[in-house]
Amino acid sequence: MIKNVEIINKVKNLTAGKPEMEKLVLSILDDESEGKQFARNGKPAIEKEARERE
Amino acid sequence: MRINSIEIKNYRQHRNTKLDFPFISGGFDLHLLVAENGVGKTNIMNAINWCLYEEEPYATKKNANLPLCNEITLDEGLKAGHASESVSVTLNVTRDGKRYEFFRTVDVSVKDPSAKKVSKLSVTITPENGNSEFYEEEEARNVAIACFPKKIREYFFFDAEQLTTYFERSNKELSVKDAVNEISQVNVLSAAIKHLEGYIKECDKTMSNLNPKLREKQESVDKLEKAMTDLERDIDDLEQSNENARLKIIELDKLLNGNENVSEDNRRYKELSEQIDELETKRKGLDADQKKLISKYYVLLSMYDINDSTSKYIRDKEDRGQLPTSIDPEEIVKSLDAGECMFCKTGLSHSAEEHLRELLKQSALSTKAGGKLTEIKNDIEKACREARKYNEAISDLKQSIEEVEKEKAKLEAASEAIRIRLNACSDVESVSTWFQQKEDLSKAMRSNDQKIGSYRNELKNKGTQLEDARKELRKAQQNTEKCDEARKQKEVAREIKEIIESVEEDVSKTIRTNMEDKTKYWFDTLLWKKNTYTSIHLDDKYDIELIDSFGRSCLGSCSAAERQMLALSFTLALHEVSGYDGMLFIDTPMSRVSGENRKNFADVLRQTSMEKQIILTLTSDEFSANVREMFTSEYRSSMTLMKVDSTEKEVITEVK
Amino acid sequence: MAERDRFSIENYIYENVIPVIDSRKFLGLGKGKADKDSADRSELFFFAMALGIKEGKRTPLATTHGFIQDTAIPGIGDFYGVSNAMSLIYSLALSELRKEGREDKIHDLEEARKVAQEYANTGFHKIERWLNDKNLDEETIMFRLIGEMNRSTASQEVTA
Repeated sequence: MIKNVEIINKVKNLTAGKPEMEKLVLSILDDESEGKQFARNGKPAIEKEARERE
Repeated sequence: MRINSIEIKNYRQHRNTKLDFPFISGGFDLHLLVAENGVGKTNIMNAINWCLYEEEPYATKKNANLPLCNEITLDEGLKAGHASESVSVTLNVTRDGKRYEFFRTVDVSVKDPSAKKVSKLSVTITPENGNSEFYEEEEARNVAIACFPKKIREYFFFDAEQLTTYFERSNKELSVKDAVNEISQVNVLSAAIKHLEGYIKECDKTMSNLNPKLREKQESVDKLEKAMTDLERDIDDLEQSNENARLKIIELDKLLNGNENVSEDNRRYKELSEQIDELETKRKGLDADQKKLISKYYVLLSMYDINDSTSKYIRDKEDRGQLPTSIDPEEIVKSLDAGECMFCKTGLSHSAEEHLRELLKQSALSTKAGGKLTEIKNDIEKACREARKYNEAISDLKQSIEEVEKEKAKLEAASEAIRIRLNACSDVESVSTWFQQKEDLSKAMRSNDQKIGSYRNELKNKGTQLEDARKELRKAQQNTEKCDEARKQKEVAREIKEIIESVEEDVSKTIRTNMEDKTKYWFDTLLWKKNTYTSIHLDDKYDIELIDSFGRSCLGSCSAAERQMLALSFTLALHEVSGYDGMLFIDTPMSRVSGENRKNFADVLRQTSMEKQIILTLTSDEFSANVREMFTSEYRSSMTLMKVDSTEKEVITEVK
Repeated sequence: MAERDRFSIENYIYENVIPVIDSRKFLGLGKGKADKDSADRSELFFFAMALGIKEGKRTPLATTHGFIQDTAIPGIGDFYGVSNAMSLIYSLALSELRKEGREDKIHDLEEARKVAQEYANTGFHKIERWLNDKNLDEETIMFRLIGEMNRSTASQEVTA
């Protein structure tokens, strides 16, 4: 998990007004910090977000 | 994260050691293990490391020669006829509200205790409410590394010796910068960016494969993006260069203040010196001309009366016809003999004959003398005329000399005035150099400005081109549904990547500045010799520089104790700034620190333990009276005394 | 014995005065190997001769040492604005011969040579006195010479 508060706060600032994007970025970073494969979690999450966009 | 307890069975001198580190809410999470040297304090750290990573990184004198398994246990096992005895370490940890129990065990052959055996690691994770999870082997190892990242273990497990050589990079697995990035999780950002870049490339490839023309358009876009990045970078470099030049010019202006004219004066002084030299050469030439004039006219003027008289004499002779004719007398004789004129061949009349005889008579008189007079006549007249030119010649020369003298005096006066001014300036050469530097810098700045202007234009153009290229690319991509899907995925990924890149840049900058500030804060608190240093600086590789009050770098001249303080300060700063939620285990931290200074050290650790678990091992020596005072039961959560039994092969603990 | 094809000076002058004139480049008249502006020996001889004329006296040569070849004289005429500098010597000779009523000897080169040499000898002795006078420097001598020239008949005529 991302513990560094600075990182978390900066992500929140940069995604202000876009809660879905905030969630997506933090989840990718959490997975990365736990050594989880990007292909397993990150990619599907991105694809889902892409589908939901027009 | 904190360690709740460690249970060590048959590991080296710890036959059956149980250490509890209870947490008292609102108190000081500080735990002391006190024992003499050689009792087994360091092996507690080794036990933890062995449990988590199957390594024993902390050297002890005994370990090298002894088996992993406790000797008494091996003896008893041999007597009892056992084939092997178990060594195990159980580490109980709380992290993010969950309990983790790490358990490593290995069976050691009683008969051949040094034979290598494979140990097993398992971990049980129990949340507050919920079911436990159990992991073994690979997964257990991953959990261990997630809780206690091996790469940065030097930043939460310390021994005193490590502290003194902290800043020597060769000792570390990981450079300080890498460690900072690891602890502060900036490396997570970098890794995520890399994955996203890879993903974006995959999307591009998908789109290119679906639409081959896309590749071309993609390449155009990529090329333009790169060109723009390069231009932006070049512009930044030039702007930085100009900024540096501007600051330098300000410095130079300060140095030049009051000496603005020196450079010009210096140049003019040299110029005048050259001109004066030229005039002196000219003057020497005029001197030589003057001598020539004297040489010439003295002769002419001294002889003037004589020549004038000679000239008059010759004219007189001429007038009287006493000078020989220009006709050769021999020809006259021939003509008389022939009775005809030798020149026109006409016969001579009587009067003509008389005339010729008369001529002959005249020319017979002083022929040679007369001839000489005729010969010199013109030259003497010329000499007189030349002599009369003297006044004009001397006047012209005098005027030339006066002009040169006047000009020279003028230049010398100007030169002297400048010399006086220059003498008032103490260092003409330096001032000239500064001026030149300032000119060169200004010139460079102007040139950079031009380049910046031109690059900005180019950037603008490229920006427009990129927009167009992207539009075209999007259009091309939109043509295929699948392409469109990949395109959208790429967009999302790019957006995420940009966010993370921005975070990475900001956080990296902030971390370093905060690290400097915090390290200085802790160092100030720890240091007993106040005011021996003024600042701490970390470069972008996190190499630490300690600057003393004379502005000199003084890390190299620090004592071992001071280096320990600095290392501890840096580590505390690292934990704080990186947000690393981990404990600190420090083995004999005060071995190099003496007397009153231990009080400082203890004070800092006490303060830190309000936020973070600290486990200290101390020798009785370190646990001096004033340290004991600092760590009364009010200020600590636990204290365990360790000693060895009479065999010296087993540790006994006593909780105080 | 006077030499027939050259103008001579006294041995003493040749050995003691000429070297000093050369080394000091006295009035620009000395002859040095590297000095491109050195006066011809002729120029020096004529100058000495002019000094003697100004003194108004001839000094017979006690000894002789060849100084200038006859053939070298004509060429220096350009310097004085005449075609042949020998004309000046004959003019000088004439003035002396007229005093003795022997002007019909004007063409006699040896007569002319004798007159020129003796006047030049007077001049060289004067130069010697200048060179030995520690109180006299070149600038002062030049100043005096210019003063004399300014007061001469020719310059007065022009001014008038």
